[in-house]
Amino acid sequence: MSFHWLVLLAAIAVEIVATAALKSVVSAPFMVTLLPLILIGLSFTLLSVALRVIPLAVAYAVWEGLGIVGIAAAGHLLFGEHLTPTRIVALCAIIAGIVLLERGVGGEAEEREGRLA
Amino acid sequence: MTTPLLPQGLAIAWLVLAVLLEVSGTYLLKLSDGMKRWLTGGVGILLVVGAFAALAQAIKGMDLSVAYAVWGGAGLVITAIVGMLAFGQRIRPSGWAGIALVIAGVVALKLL
Repeated sequence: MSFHWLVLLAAIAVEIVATAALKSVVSAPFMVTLLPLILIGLSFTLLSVALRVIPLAVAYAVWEGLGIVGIAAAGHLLFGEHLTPTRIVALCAIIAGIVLLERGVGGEAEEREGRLA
Repeated sequence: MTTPLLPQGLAIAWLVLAVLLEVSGTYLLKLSDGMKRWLTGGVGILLVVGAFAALAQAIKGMDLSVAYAVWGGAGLVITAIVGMLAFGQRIRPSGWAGIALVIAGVVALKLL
C-alpha cells in the first residue's frame, strides 16, 4: 500500500474520530467544542495530500463509504443509536450509490485517456 | 436518540446548511491542487470546518449515523450535478443509477 493510500486511510480515521467527538462535546464548554473542528481541519489537510496522487473519484468513494460505515458503527457502539434493518439497507444503498456515482461521472482526465470515447 | 435537544425541523435546516458549506468547501479544496494554492485550500478548509459546526448543531436533533449519511450522500450528488451543469462533466447511466440509489437511501433513512 502506497504512502498516499495510507494518508487517505489516516484522513478517514481522523474524520470518524472527529465526527464521533462532535457528538460527545455537543453540550460541552465552547473551547472543548473547538477540538473536533481542529481534527476535521487536520483530516481535510491529509485528504488534500492524498489527492495529489489518488484520483478524486476513487478517493471520494472510499472516503464517504468508509466514513458512513465507521460513523454508523460509532453511533451504534458509543451512542446507542439503533441500527434497524431498514437503516442498514438504506446505508448500503447510499454506499452502493456513491460507488456507482463515482464510476459513472466522466472527468476531464478520463476523457483525455479516451475511456469515455 | 431518546431526548432530542432540538426540534427536527431546525435540525434539518442546520443539516442543509452543512451540506451547502461542505460542497463549497470541497470544491475549493479541489481547486487548491493538493494545497499548492494554499490560500484557496485554506478558505476551503475553513468552509469545511464551518460545515462541521453546522453538523454539530444538526445532531442535537437527529442520530449521528443518519445525519452523517445524509450529509455525505447529498453532498456527493450535488457535487456531481454541479460538475455536470457548470463544467460539462458527463454523467453516464450508471452514474444516474448511483444518484437514484443515494437519494432512495437518504429518503429511506429519513422517513422509515
